[in-house]
Amino acid sequence: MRLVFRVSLFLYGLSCIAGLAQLGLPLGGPFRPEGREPGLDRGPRPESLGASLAELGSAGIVWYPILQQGLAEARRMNKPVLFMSVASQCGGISGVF
Amino acid sequence: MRIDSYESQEAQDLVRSYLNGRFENTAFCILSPDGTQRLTRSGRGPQHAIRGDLAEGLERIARRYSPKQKAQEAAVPDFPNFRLGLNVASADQRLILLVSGTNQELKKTREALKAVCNDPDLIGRFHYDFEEQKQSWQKVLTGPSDQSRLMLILPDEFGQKGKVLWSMPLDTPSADIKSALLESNRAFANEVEKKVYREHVRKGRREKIQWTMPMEYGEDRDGDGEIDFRGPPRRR
Repeated sequence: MRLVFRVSLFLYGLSCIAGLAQLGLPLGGPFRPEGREPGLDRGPRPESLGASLAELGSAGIVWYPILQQGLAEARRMNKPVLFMSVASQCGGISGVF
Repeated sequence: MRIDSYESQEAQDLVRSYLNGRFENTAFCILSPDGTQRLTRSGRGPQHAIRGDLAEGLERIARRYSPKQKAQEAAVPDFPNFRLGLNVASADQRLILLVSGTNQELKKTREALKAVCNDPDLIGRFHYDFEEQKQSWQKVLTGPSDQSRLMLILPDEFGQKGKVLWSMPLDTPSADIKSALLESNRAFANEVEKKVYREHVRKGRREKIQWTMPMEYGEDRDGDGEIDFRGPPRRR
């Protein structure tokens, strides 16, 4: 059940993933970010996005920002790893992914 | 696991290994528990790694692995440095618990904080950072701060400065830490407004906010080892 809880956190926390779910889209559904060239599936930029769907103070994904620490935890728990690499800035503006 | 693409050469080499030699701002894939095998394709986002419904895809993969140990014993996440931690906390709009102390103190506190970090009422709501060097955080924080303390930090809008909301001794009982964290999180959720990302970026440009990164900004989309893309042209 704990594994399901953690996977549920993946699902709940998807709105925190680098700009993707902030368009309020169904998971895995198609989207056409505004102003993007057709076929250029690089995802929306922060300047195209509104606010996150997640409520402030709510539970999100428990991210491990240090590679080795994340892998150690995955090995300990025998869990697959959801790996993301993101830029914690947009065009040099910090405080946003 | 979520690393910063521009924090180190190691991070960029890892991204290139997953993107067939390319380097892009974002990369995504699912790995085996030992990190040696990719269980999905890799790409810029989840839609490249898992076709169809993402939640079902993740469930399908998770079901193949039976958990071995207790989730309550999960290690408390840490950042490579406080500067990055503060910025990420700002971007995620989460409070960050800074633990400062000697190496021995940090080791002991990491163990003690597991129960707090993994508490069902607290899990996934905070970031954590452990720092030995006072210089890494002293100059960017206002409020009561000192070495060998737990400090709850409210990052500023652009993640470059922070305010210490409270400070406690490292040996504070878990129940007291939990209570304080819950109270602060409640206040944070009630008092702070959600960032509207496009407005945040516009404001940052107006105020000439600058964030320098350890690695050169830009993408290598053709995988030739050279940065060839530095963002779309700005509207005038």
